[in-house]
Amino acid sequence: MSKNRCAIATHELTRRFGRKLALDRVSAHVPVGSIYGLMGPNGAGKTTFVRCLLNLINPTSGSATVLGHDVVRDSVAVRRRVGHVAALQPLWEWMTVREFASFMAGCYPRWNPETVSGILSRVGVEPHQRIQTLSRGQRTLASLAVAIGHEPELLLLDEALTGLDPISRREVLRNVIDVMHAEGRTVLITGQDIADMERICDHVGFLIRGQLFWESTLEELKARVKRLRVEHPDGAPAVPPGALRVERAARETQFTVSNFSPALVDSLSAPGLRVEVMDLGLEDIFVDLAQPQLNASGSAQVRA
Amino acid sequence: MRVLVRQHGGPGAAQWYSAMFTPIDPKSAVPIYLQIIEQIRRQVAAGVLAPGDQLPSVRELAQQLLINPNTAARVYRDLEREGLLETRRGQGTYVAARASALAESERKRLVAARLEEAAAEARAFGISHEAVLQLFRDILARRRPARKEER
Amino acid sequence: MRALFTKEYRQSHLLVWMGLLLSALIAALYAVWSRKYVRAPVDQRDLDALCGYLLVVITGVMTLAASAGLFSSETGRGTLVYLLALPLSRSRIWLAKALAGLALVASGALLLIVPDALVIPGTVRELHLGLYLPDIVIWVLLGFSVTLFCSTLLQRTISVLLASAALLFALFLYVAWMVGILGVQITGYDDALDVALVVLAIVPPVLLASLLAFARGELLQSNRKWAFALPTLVGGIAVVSLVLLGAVRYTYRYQRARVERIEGVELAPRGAAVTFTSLGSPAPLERTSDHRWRRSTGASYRSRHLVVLDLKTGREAMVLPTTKMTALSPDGRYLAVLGGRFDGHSARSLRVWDLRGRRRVLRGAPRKLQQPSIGPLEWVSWSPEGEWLVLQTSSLDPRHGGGHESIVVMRPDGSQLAEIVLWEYPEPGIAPEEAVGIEDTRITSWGWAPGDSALYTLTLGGRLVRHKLADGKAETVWEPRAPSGTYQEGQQLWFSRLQVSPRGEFVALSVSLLASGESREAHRLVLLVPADGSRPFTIAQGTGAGLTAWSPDGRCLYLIGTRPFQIMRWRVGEAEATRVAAPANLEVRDRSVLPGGELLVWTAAAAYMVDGQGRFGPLPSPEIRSLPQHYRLVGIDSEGRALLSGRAGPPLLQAADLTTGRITKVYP
Repeated sequence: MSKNRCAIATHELTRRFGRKLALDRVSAHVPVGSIYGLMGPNGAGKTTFVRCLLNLINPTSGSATVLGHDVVRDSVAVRRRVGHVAALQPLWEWMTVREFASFMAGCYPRWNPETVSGILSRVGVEPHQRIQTLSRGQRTLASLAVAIGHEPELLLLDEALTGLDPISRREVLRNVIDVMHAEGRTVLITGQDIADMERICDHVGFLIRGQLFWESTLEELKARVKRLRVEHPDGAPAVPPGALRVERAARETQFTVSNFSPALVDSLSAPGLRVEVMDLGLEDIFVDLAQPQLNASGSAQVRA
Repeated sequence: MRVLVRQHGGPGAAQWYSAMFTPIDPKSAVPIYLQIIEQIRRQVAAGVLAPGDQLPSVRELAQQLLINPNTAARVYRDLEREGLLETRRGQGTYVAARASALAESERKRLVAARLEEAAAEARAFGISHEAVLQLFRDILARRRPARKEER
Repeated sequence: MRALFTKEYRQSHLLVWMGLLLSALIAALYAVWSRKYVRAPVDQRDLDALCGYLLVVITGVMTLAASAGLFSSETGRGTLVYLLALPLSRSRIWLAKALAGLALVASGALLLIVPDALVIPGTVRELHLGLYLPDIVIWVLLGFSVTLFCSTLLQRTISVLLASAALLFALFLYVAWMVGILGVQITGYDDALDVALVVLAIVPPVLLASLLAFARGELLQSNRKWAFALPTLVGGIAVVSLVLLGAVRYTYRYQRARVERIEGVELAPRGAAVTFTSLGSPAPLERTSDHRWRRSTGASYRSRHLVVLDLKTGREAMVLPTTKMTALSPDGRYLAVLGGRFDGHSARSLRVWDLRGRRRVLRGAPRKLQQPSIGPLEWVSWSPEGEWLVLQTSSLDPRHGGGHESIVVMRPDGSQLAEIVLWEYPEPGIAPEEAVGIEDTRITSWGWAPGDSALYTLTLGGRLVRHKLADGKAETVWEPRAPSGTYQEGQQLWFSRLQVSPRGEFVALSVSLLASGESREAHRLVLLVPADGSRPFTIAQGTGAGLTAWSPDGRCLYLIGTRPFQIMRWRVGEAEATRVAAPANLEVRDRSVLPGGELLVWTAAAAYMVDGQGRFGPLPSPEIRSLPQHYRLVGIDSEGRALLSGRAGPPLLQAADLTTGRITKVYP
């Protein structure tokens, strides 16, 4: 992928809280025009990462560039061009939706009221309603509406889909996709809703314990991580090094590889052995790749 | 899942058809774009999508199927390269006129793909060619004997 | 930023309307109380004052309430992330919130006070709100800043309120310490303005600490904002304190450099040093009784400095912010100071300084002196050798009668205290003038024997008592018996003005003969009582002898009458005093006896001298002779020169050598 046109480019981004290392030398690249899914379990550092991009938190070391601006030095310029939605984000309960929208409108140079009202009316939110009367899904959509309302070039959704009902979730996705129709727009989604991410993301990154140990296009990920099933009537075959989730039965062995190629299959083939290649869904891929990271500690390997 | 298809005939005469798209399965081995391509091909082959029918824009397709717009764009790009679809500047994407000509070969291709799978399975289980052919004839006979005559 | 300001204001705008509501409530309560409970004009004023205090208190509470939630509510609710994600720099966010808070406080206070001020004008009048408005505003500003600071750091509103109250209290103590103890006098104005200036000065560090904590500190997921907030606060206040003290020193130096005049010049008993009060320019402002400002013309105690000048070196031995009463020890080594800025005349304000070592020997009178029965200190003086300090106290209670005046004799370091009661006021019901018998026992004057061995006291009735300090025993040296035939019925003798001769041989008393219907000055005579207890004798009678002065060697005594002017001199061993020929129309201003026994007389126009032979004449040197036109005679210094003080223009102190006629400048 072209590194010159990255909406987000971080270099060895590190953030320490006391003794805990929330981000460990993360070097991520989010190309312009992509929908990038940053996946990881709870506490992996996804929210910390997003907050570093917006300079809500200062990095301990390393650097990051968003839309060409350094996040620390030009943080105001960054925030002017970036929309941000955080999940379960408390809002000011006393405001009406209209007041909330006009408050946000006053803070940004560009504002498109039709976008905002369009999003809200689709989920049945009236402008005069108070925020405290909104359901959780409606709140998230309200946050999304004001985040999109100022026509950002980059949209950061931090666990925005977590805990939403299916209808609200679809609405969020729909609006996110709608954002992409304009040229040069980019979206970064973090969370654990791997099924939804699988639909719409074209780039993925895996974050565990602050380490970004995989980053590539979704297509490449699916092309390289496959599960192989080897039927062997007699004698367990040698499993290639780096194989994951190895399961053995009497006459069959299954394992996942992260460096699949036809040559690999050939190298495994032998008379009497039948090798079957199975594609994995994103969730299975993530689980298989993450397991060794959760068990061991060590430097991350970033595949790009 | 319904995808609205606009019939040709200019802006005034908008009539809405509905064509059935099955929901895409993100988990399947088949990439999303291929799933959609298959569905469109199937509909063209079945005649549901006739030459001149307008397809939803990339944006609408992506929104309604909840997929990445790049994927939707890729679907149309690939089908356009095949000749199944054509894009008219400023107007949208339509089923190409040659699609009907392709329909025939498309149908055959789809059936052939299934037969390939069956053949592979037969070989794997060690069933002879004759036995397979006989199986197929029986199936065909059972299914639509009248239709088969027509063809 | 305007959008944020508007949002902040609207978030708490209920508070503003509360102000109006409370205003209406207070007005309603006032109307009800007025009608039901108020009977007299006095009560009406009490009610007005009460309402006024209520308004001030509620303003304070409203300030805290308005600013408490500004930052803490965002952190507590979690909406801080939203704010920080806005395309505004953090300082701007802080500024928008601070301004909104200020607007809330201002509008709330206005809605609270103005309606009530219009409806109940007595409130404003009773509390002189118009006068104290700047003070109220400044303290509200401090309250606002402190609450803003705490709001930046804490999450729950209740913790913010508690912390603000604690911090405000601490800062209040700081202000009191700066102004009260350090004596910060930046302006020449009164205390209230100095307090206001200090309060205003500490507002910026508090606001800066809050700003830094918000703009630079870590607000999410860690507590690093404290690392910015607390050092800035403490450091800022320290810097402000240093600047204030520096300003004080500058003002002090400025004022000291421009000494306009001096007054209250007093020479130490042996002439080694002199104390005076220097008044710097410009003259300070003071508030008059009708609450206006005007330039002080006289004795405002701001920007007056007490200077102790060592006459030998000519240098200022000590400079103090002025106090009420001072006394230099005879050798000029110790300075006793009475009366502080806030202590007034209480025993707590007594200080004794060692001028040579520049340290305090005594701070605050000893416990015994601080009992309420002893009362405030009126006067302080030293014994001739400088071994004892005498404090005069008066615990008179004019309203209820009773109390007493006494002198307390003690060592300079506060030890070996002894009290001698001069006079006890009679019980209530008896007017002092009627209790003649008691009056007779009232001690009217006292004096030291040389060598600090004893103290003499003299009652109005003429009883002379010697108090020995070594063993504390008191013995009566002499007291008059019943009047002899020389005096007629209805006449009384009043004894006063005890003066012990420097050699301790005699005690000179002034005796007044008071006949009914005549003035006191009719007959005066001077009685000499020998210290060894032998029979006293008079040396001058039938005269209006007013002033007496012993020569320093104790060999002769001068009696100076003022109306008409006459000088009489008595030498030890003679039977009577001899008159000195002098013009009768002179008006004596000052006099001093020179070490050689000559008398120096200072009138309004010229200087005269009575020489060793008893001849009266003007001073030989013409320059010195004309000095009294501009200078007063303070005394004779240790080198025998006449010390003179002038009221207008430099030099302010001069010393005239009478033998050579040379005049030297002493100060400045």
